[in-house]
Amino acid sequence: MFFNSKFLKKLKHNLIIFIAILGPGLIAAIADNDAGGVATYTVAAAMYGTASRFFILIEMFLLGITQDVGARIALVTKKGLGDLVRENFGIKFSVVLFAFYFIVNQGVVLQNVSGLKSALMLFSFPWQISLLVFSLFIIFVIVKFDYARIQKIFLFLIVFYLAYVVSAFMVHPNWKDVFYNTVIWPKDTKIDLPFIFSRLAVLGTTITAWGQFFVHSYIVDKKLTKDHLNFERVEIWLGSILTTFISLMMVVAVSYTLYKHGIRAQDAYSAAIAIKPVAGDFAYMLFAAGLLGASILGLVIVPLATAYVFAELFGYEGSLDVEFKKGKFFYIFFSVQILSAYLISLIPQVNLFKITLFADFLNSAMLPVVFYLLIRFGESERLMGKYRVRGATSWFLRASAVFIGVIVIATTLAKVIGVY
Amino acid sequence: MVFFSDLKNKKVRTQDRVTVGKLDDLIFSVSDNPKITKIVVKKRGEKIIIPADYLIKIGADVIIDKSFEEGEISEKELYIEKNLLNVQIIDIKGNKVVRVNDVVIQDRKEYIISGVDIGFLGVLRFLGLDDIVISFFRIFGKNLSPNILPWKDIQPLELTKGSLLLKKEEEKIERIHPADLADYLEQTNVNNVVRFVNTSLDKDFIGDVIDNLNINYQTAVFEELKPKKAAQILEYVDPDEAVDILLTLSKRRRSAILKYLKPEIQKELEYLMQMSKTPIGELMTSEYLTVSPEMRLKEVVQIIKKKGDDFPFLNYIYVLNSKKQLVGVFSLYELISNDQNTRVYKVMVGNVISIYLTTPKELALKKMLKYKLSALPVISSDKIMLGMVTFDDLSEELIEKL
Repeated sequence: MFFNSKFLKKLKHNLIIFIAILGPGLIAAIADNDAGGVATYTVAAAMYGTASRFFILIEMFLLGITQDVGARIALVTKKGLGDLVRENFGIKFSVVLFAFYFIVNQGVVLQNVSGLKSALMLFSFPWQISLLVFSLFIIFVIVKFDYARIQKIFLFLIVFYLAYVVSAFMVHPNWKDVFYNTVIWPKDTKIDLPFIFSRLAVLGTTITAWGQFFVHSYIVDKKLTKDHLNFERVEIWLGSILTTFISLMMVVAVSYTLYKHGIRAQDAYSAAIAIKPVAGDFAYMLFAAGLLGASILGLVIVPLATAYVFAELFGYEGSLDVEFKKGKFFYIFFSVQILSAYLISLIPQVNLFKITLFADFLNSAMLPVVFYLLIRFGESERLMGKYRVRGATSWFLRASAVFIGVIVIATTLAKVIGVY
Repeated sequence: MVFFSDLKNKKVRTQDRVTVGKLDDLIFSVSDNPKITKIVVKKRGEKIIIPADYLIKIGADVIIDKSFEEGEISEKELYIEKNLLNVQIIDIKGNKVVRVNDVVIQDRKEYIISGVDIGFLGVLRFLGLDDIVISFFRIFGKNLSPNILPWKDIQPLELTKGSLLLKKEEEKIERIHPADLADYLEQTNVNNVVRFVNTSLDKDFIGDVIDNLNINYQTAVFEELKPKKAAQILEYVDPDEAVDILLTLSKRRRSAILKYLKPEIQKELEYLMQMSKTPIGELMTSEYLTVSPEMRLKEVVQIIKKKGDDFPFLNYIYVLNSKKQLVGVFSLYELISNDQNTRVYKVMVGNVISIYLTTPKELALKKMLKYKLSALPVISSDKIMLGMVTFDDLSEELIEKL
């Protein structure tokens, strides 16, 4: 028979290894759809419909390749991006990079806190108290639990994103149009500057500096080695596909409700409110649930990404597997980011929307640096040996770096001139 | 003591003021006693290696002999910036501890790496922010000082693999010179010294190390040890030092230890103690200058200009911390030869040779001769500076006695 026992055994063996490795790629990619991501996708979709995601395949590819190269460096060197930066560029560069990185991430944590606040308000919880409870609970889990248990929680949080998939199917979209608009060309949309900038903002929320640092550190923390390279790459690409799919479903759900009825949304919160009269209570609950999951995931991953990099740059123990005493700087950095974001969110005068825009902007400004680091480390023979990045991957990585660089300059200019 | 961060990018010139380039890196031999063997000078983008034999002086500029020739890095040698700085330090269990933030170089005829700075000030120093931060914390009455890990605490062999291993193993200790080990132990704490004394190492070796400890540590150790153990060790300590130690202990403790000594040694020590009943107090002067570790050199100069008449003896300037404890000393030469914005703790010598009120005068004089010092500070058992005895006063007194 074709399915002889040997084949099945091998399949089973590989599947077990794959499940053991599963985690970093999936989690890092999906966390890119955090509260800030949800907001950006929603606002863009309410404005331009599914056309807001044209060239979706390129976007998916870009996410996949950056994470792929990051994972490859992490597996071969067994060092985080922070370690490599400190060892190759010295103290000065490390401190400056970390200062920027910290500010960007604090902004993103703030986005997620305000996302969680919105989600709690959508469920009509008293948000001041419940937000604090959630924050403290997250800190408790990260400090007390070990890597394996925390990862299970991460994977569970991904289930929340199914809400968007269900919503997308509920609105009975015209799948042919969706495909045409996203993969081939946005046919009914006028392509002008604001449209292009909105498209770029969406790209900026998918590929993030912290996501890149996180996948790196998280793989190192899982203590995977280069023997796991192929499995890890499969997982990375799976994560990239799934992430793009989920964000597309989000966009579809919004496009066939709000966009169809010409309703604009300012953020994820107002989108959920606006969707209620159009698509009903269930859709509203789904949106709230999706936002809740996205915010919690972002609220854990982003400060974790900061704490990892801090520990790496300054040589402290930074792992989910160590107890508080050994990794105190790591855990303190994690906790401080969440708690300070919570405190800021309590101040009514603070304009969270402006802060999030600023954070998005700084994040995209960091991307060229991240690409430079990936190229520099990934192509280094000294660090990577025979695993170094070359050929088509290298070419694509460089092209993406130039592409992202141009985008950053263009958006900066546009912001200065005031087009967008 | 000088930090690598202060040397980096210093101008390198010959004694007749011909600029060679900028100091880029240093090369050291990987050993228990890591010597700076070569310097790397950056000259219009090009790097040249010059053996440290041509090094004349490191001051405001790095001065090398004009007849210098270029060299090459050899086996068992590494670069400070390339191979040592920024490296991850791990403990024996493989835990990450911290990174090398700066490298401390000691000037003892040759330039030797004495340790690595693992404190946050090391990071700030590279950014040029250390002064500001130290000043800032001083406003709140907090004195920051560098956190230095002695080289002896490190297993440098791992360096080629890109990390430094922390090591504290017994069998390694005996290969170290007693004076170096004493130096090292003084940089840790008394508990470590006691632990060291309680090891099963050769008693003669332990005695040698104790000879080389400063009196504070000697006293502290003998206060901690059980009288019997203390007596056993004391038999291997140099009699002069032994007397010094016994005199600083309480009467009860002293007699408890004496009881356990071999009769002939007990007799010898008791005789020596009889000899030294005269207290040093009557010779002591209070006319000396003290400053705090975070002061800048120019502030010290200001004080001397303003109140110099009060201090006829200026060969040494003593450094006291906020608790009036003696933490360092530096000479007039060091004061004027260093950059005036440097802080005192960077130029001072940390291990001050000092005496107690109970130290016999003969012993004090011996110390001065041994270390070629023209004055000694007198401190209490908790390191608080009480006064100073000069060579002039002391020798005068002793000659009169003859």
